Amino acid sequence: MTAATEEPASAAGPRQGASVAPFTAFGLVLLAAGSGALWEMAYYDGLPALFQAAIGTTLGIVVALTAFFVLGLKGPPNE
Amino acid sequence: MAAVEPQRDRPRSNTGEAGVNLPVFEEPPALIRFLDQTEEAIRQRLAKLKLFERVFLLHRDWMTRITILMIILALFWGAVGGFDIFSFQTQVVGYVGQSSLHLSDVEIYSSVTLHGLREFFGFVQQLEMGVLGFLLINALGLVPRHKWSLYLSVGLVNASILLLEGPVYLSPFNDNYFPAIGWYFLSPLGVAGHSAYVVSPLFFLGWLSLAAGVLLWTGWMVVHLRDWFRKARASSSGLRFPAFLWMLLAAVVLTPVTYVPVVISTVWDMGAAYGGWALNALSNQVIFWIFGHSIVYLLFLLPLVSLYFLIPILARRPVYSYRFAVVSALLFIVLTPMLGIHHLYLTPLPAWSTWLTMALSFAIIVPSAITFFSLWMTLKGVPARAWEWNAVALFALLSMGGMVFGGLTGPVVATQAWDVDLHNSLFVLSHFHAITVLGIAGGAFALLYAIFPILSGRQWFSVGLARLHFLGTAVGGVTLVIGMDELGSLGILRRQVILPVLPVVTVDQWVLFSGMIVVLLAQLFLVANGFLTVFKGELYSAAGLSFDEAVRRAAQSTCPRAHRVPVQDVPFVRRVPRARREGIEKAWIGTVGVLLVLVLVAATPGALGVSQGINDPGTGHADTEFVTLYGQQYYWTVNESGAIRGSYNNTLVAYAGQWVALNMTAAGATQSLYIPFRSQAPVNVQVIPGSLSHALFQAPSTPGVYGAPDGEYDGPWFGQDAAELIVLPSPDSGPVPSLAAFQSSGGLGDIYDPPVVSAARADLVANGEGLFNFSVPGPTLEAGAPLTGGPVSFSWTIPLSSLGINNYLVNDTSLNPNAQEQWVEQHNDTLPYGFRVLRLDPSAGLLPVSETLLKVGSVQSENLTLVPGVYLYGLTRPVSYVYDPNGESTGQTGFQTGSVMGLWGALWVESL
Repeated sequence: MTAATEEPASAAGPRQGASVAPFTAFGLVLLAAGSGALWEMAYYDGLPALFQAAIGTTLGIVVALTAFFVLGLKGPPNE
Repeated sequence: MAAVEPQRDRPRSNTGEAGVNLPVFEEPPALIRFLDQTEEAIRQRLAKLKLFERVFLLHRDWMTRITILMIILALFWGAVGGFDIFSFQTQVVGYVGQSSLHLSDVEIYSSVTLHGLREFFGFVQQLEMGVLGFLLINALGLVPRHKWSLYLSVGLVNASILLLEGPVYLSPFNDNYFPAIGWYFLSPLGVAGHSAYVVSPLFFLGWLSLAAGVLLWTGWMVVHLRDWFRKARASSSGLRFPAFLWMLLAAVVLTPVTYVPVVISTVWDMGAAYGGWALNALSNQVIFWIFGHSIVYLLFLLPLVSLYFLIPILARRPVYSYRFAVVSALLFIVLTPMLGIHHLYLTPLPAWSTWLTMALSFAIIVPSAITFFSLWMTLKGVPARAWEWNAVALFALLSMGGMVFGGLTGPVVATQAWDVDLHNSLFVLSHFHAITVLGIAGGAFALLYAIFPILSGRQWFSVGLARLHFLGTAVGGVTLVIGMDELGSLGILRRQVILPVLPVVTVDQWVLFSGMIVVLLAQLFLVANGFLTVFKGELYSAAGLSFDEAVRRAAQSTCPRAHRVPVQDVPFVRRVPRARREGIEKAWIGTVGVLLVLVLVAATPGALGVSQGINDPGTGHADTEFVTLYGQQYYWTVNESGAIRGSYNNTLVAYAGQWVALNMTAAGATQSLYIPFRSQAPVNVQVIPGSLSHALFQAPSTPGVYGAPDGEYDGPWFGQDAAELIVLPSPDSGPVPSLAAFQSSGGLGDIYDPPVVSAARADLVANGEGLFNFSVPGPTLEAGAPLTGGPVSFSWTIPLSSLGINNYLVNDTSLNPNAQEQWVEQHNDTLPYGFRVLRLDPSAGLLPVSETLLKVGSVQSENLTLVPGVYLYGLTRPVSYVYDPNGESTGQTGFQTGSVMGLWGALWVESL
C-alpha cells in the first residue's frame, strides 16, 4: 500500500484489514471443498460393486487436488 | 466517471460521447417516439410514489432503470421459484412422515418444473443478462443504445416465464394445468398425440419467447461490443480486453449456440403435436441436450465473469495470467456445446458418441482448472492488511468453494460406468446444486453487492444483514448439498415424492429440507437490506474515483468499519516475470492433461461395456431368461420366455443367479429400469419411445423381492410407477426358503425393496396415493405353509378418507374436494376393481387364486389355503385414469391420462 491510497480516517476506520491473507483463506476453503467432494466419492469407492467404475476417476481427482495445492504453494506470487 | 455517474437520456449526436459513429435520427421513428413518451408518462406518475421511485430508481438513466428492473424481476422469480421448491419439499417430508399430501400430483411435479424454470431462466438467466449488460457498458465506457430492444428482450423473457406456467382457470379456480414435466421437457413427454400427459401449447410458446428474448439481448450485446471494437480500433490504447470480458464474450457467443437447439427441439415438438410431423424422440433429446447442458455452462459463466472481475479489483492487482484466462474462455466456448450427450449415457446411442462425450466432458475440466488456479494465484502475495472481508469478498469465496465442491463431482457423473448408479439419483442434484446455489448464486450475489450501490446511489444499509445473508446461504447451501448427496448415495431418485419410508431416508430428507429452509430464509436478509438501502442507506458517491475504486467503495459498505481498508487504487509494478507465472500455470495444466488421459484410459473399458450392453441383445449364458419390457405411462408390461414363462404387469421374475436378458421399448415418455443394488452391480437403462434398449444382468443369488422403480420422470403418476424383481429359488434347490437370508443381506442394498412383513401381522392400509403402507409396490407379505398347502391369512383396508384427488382409484376429478368420497358412498362403498391373489407359476405365469371387489371403509380379510410359492396380491392390473375437471382438459389446455398400478405387492409363502 502506498501513501497514495490513503483516505480520510472517517471513511476507512482504523484500517485493520483482515487477519488472514486472502490466498490462505481461499486455499483453505478450496481444500475443504475438494475434501468434501472426495468424501462424497469415497462412499462409492467403498462399494465392491462400484469400485472398478469409481476408483480411476477418484484417484485422478486426488492427484489433481494434490498438484493444485503443491503447485499453488510453490508458484511465484502475483507480484 | 462514466461508470457511476447517472447516464441521463439525451439527444444523440453523430459521434456520441464515446466517439462512436452511431446511427442518428433527426427525429426518432414514430413508434420509438410513442414508446418514449409513454414510458416517460408512466415514469413520472410512478415516481410520485416514493416506493416506486426508490425501488425502481426512476430518477436514474434508462440503462440503470432497465438493469435494476431486471435485477428486481430476477429476484422476484427467484423468490417464486423458492416457494415452488418449498411446496415440493413439504410434500416429500410429509410423505416420509407418513402424512397425507395436500397437493395434487400435478401440483407437486409442476412445483419442481416451475422451480427449475423460474430459478434458471427467470432468476439466473435474467440476472446474468442484467449485470453483464451493465458491466459491458460501464467497464468499456460505452454509450448504451437501443433501449427498446433491451426492454423488449426483458419483456419476452418475463413473458416466457408466465407462458411456461400454462393456463389457469379463474372460475372455478384451477391451476392444475401447470406443466408437470421436470424443469425441462424430454420429448415425447408432454407432446399431444405422443404422450398420455400433454402440456398446453403455451408451454412451448414460453420456450420460444424465452429464446427470442435471450437472443435479442445477445444482439444488443453484440451491437455494443461492435461499438467498443470501433472505438478501440480508433484509439491508441489498442484492443486489449480485461480478463473478465473474455468470460463475458464467451457468454455472448454461447448464448445463440445454446438457445438455437432448444428452438429446434421445441418447434419439432410443436410440429409433432399440432402439425402431424414425425417425431424421433431420441434425436429430439440429443438436440435438446445441446441446450440442456450448455445452459448450465452459460449460467456458470456469470460467476466466472464475477470472479475475474472482482478478485483483481479486491486484490488491487491484475489476474495472475491473462493469457490463460483467454485460453480458458475460448475452451469454454469450444467445448460447452458438445457435452449434452452425457445426459443420455444410458440410452441406445452409438458407443463412439457416448465415449467421445465422456472424453470431452473430462476435457472441459481444463478451462475450469485454469480458471480456479489462476484466480487463486491472483491472490498470492496480497497481504492481509490490504484485504477486507466485505460481502463481495465473502460471496466470491463461497462461489469459488461451491464451484470446486460441485465441479469436482462433474468428472464423477461424466464417468459413464459410474453414471449407471448415479444417473437421475439425487447425487446428480447434489453436484448440480453445489454449482448453482453455492457457485452461481454466490458469484451473482458477489456481483450484486458490488454494483447495487453504484446503481442505486446509496451504500448498503446493513453490514449485519449482508453477513447473515452470506452465512445463511453458505450454511444452508452446504447442508442442502450434503442432504442430496446422502440421499443420492442411497440410490434415491430425483423428482421423487414417494420415497422409501425408512429412518435413514427420513433423516437425510430432513437435512435436505432444513438446508433449503435456511437458504430461502437467508434471501430475506438480502431483500430487507435492499429495501433499507434504497430508503435509508447513506448516499453513495463515486466522484473522483476510478471504476475499480467505485466498486471497492460499494463493497466496503458491507464490511465492519474496524476492518475496512482504503479503496484507492495502488500503483502496481510487476516484479515476477510473466514467464515464471505462466510456467507454473503450464505445469498445472500439463499435470491436469496427463491425469485426464490416464483417467480416460481407465474409464474406457467400462464406458464401452455400458454402451454395448444397452445397444446389443446379450445372451452368452446358458439358461438365460429372455424378457421383453414395454414401458408405458405408468407401468411395465412384461413378457418372459426361458426357464420362466408368462406375462406380468410391473413384475420381472428370474431364478436366483440366472442371467436375465432384457429387450425394452416404451411409449408416451422415456422410461428407465432402475435397480439400485449395492452388493452387486446396479441396473439402470433408459428406454426411449421409438428405440430399443437392452440390458443383461445376473439376478441376485438370494431369493427375494427387489424394488425396481422407474428412474426417469414420465408424468404426474411417476411416483406410483414402480416394478419389482422377484427372484425365485432355483428349481433344483428344494423347498421355498424363508426371506431371512434376503433380509439379513439387506436386500442387496436396494433402497427400493418393499419392506417384508409377516402376513399374519400385516395390517395393509391404503394411503392417499393409492399405495399400501406408503410403499410401492406394497409390503412383501411373508407366510409359511406345508407342501400340501395350509392356511394363509392377511387383512387390508382402504379407508374412505384415503380417496381424494391424488388417489387414482376413483376417477372423479371434479374440483369438489369431497367428490371421490361421495362417489364411493353412492356406489355402495365398492370400487370397480378386483383385489386378486395370483399364484406365480414359473411355467405358466400368473394363475388366479381368489378375487373380490375392492371394498372401501372396512377391514377385509383374505383367508386362503396356499401351497408354498410366490403370489401377487392386490390390484395386479393397472387402473385407467383421466383428469378432466369441468371438461377443461383439452389439447389447448393440457390433459393427463394414464394407467396406474400402486395397490399391490408380493406374498411369499415359504415351505414349512
